[in-house]
Amino acid sequence: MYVAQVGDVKFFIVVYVDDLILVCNDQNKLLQIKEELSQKFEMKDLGELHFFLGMEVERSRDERLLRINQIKYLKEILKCFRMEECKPIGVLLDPKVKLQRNANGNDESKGFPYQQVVGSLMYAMLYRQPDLAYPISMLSQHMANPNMEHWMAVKQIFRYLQGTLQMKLQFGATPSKEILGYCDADWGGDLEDRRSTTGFVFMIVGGAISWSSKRQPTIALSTTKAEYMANTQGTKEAIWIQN
Amino acid sequence: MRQRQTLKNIISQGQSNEGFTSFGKIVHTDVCGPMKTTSHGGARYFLTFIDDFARKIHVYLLKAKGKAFEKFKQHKALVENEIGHKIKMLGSDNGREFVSKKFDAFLAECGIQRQTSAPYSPQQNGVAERANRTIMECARSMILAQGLKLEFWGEAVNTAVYIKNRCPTKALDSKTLQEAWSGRKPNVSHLRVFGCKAFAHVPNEKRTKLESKSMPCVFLGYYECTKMYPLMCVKTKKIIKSRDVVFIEGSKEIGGVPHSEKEENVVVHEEVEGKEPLTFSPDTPLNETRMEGVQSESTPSCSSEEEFVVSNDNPYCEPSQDVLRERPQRQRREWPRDWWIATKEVKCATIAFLEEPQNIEEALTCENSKEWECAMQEEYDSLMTNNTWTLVPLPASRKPVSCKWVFKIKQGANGEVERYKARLVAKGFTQTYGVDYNETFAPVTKFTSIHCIFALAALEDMEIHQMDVKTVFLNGKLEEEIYMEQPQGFVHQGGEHLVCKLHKSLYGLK
Repeated sequence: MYVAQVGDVKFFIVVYVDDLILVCNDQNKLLQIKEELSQKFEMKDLGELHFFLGMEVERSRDERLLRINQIKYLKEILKCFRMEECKPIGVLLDPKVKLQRNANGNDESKGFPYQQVVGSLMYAMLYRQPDLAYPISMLSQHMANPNMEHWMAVKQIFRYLQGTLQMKLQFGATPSKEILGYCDADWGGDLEDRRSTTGFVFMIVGGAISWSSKRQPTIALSTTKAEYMANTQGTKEAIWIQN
Repeated sequence: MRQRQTLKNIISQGQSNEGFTSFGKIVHTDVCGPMKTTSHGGARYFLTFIDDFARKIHVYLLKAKGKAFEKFKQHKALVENEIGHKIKMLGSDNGREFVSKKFDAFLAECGIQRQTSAPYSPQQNGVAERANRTIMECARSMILAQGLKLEFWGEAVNTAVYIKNRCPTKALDSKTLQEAWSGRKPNVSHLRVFGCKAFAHVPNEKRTKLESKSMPCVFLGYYECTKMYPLMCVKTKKIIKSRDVVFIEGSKEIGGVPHSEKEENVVVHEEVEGKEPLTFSPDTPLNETRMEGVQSESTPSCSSEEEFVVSNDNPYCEPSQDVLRERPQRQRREWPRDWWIATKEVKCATIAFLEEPQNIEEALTCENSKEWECAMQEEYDSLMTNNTWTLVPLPASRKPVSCKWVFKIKQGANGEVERYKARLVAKGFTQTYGVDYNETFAPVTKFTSIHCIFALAALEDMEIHQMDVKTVFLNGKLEEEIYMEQPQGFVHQGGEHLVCKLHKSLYGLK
């Protein structure tokens, strides 16, 4: 990522392997830089940004809003795992079900593409879906040895996605450049080793920019300690974002 | 004697005592299997029971031979209740599944005699063995004729027995087995060609106004105790039951040919007229056993949601009547050509219609060979103009990296072919760390940054544009010396021994 500021003109270039996003508040400058880049490298100008790495970007410039959705990508994975006709559901994880280690080692879910599913969901999670962070972290703890219960949880996530397919991540609702962070922890949420889970979200201009849900590496003896560890994680992220 | 003794003539169990006049006097039994392919429900064996008097066959699918005992108990209870005659003798071979302490104890308790064949002479269990052969041959021909997958053998066996029970036999003076058993002539007007295409009606509750009213299925036999047909849904691969089915029997070709409703009706009438006057009977008693067998066939994961069961208003109504009563549908003329192929393999929908060659030989022999050749030439020219490599003799100590053509059809937004693309890739996995490469690098950005910039751009109403670097790899200069074999199809004339010394990077290279 490159940042430049000349007087009033701000310029950002984001490079992702062979894709570039150019952001500028001055149209003429933008065109000029595009021209220069094209001379240096053989490039294809795709015009305004609509589709980038599986996410669709739509803007409403009058309202100063920008929305990201992943309808296409999600539809594709639903189709790929033959869940395209599943019924939507509003609950992401059944609160009554506590996912546990597959202790007796039965391989009833051996034929299921569990890893692939969790992998594809994780990609979706990184782009648009802060709500998936917790379930994905739960599910990925059982990558090596899933059982039927885990698989049912996966299917439920698919059904949830079916229901929330059209939802978008929106930026620009509150016109303030302040970064807002929230973080929290549970305490001993993992039934097997009693480790706690940290979660945090950072927001800017009314949209979430960074989120995570992670099992803490050490066992917290009190809620205070768990929260304290969560805060550490959150602060680390905050420092990174500030830079 | 010791030199010349031979086997004695074998008289099988049933024939040895002629003139049984009641049911249950002898029940012949045998297990057939293991099959190499497990059926849908995981069965690998089937178990038959044949009443010596009526010759009616009962079949059960088994997951393991050991289950034979349980099934016998079940069968005994069922038959004795149905016919009112006790089983008096059980004829079997000496298989472990029949001769065990548990089994013996049970037989003794019920006062059933046992008749086992002598070791190594299955001929003595002739009735059961012959039935097994008939069933297997029948099932095999049904599967082969329809080009079905072998895992449908369970359904095929059940259907074979169902039909066999409705066929006349010489042993019963040309009466059908079913008639001898229950005293009523069986109705055969509901019989259909096994494995044929069928369309199950989707009940109103299961669909919205505009969704299609039926779903394509494969016909998989009969249930003995319900007037529904087991069908496999082509789309979901689940076994469903339905009463409202339209069959398309005529199309034998695997591709599925256009077929009209008219012919269907003709077939039905022929069937009805061809036989003797049919009695309209509630068929077999409802507590028949086949149901159980087939049910265990349906996949365990098949949840009740997917299975729709139409409750029959009138339980004494023949299924065939329903089929005949159904209003003639409009002619369906065109079937998608790969209707059947799609059912055969679970394919990802993304690999839909366009065939992409896997290697250069395929590309040059397939129907679009001209386009592919053109695409390859284009790629080669672009590599040449960029001065990607020079031809040099290979230094003795080095091994060249091989390369390969990859072919891709680029599709536009509407699925039309946009262009044919060929790409030369190096097989980077043949490179060794430290010799052919030291460092790999690709610039990526954290999603947080991307989100951040989007947020700022939204706030300050900035322009967001996107660009795409063409042939990125050409911008990477190589620091290492890498030798690659010459690309297939573009080997330099007279320089076959030379290799390409790469100056610029290629796809696949580390």
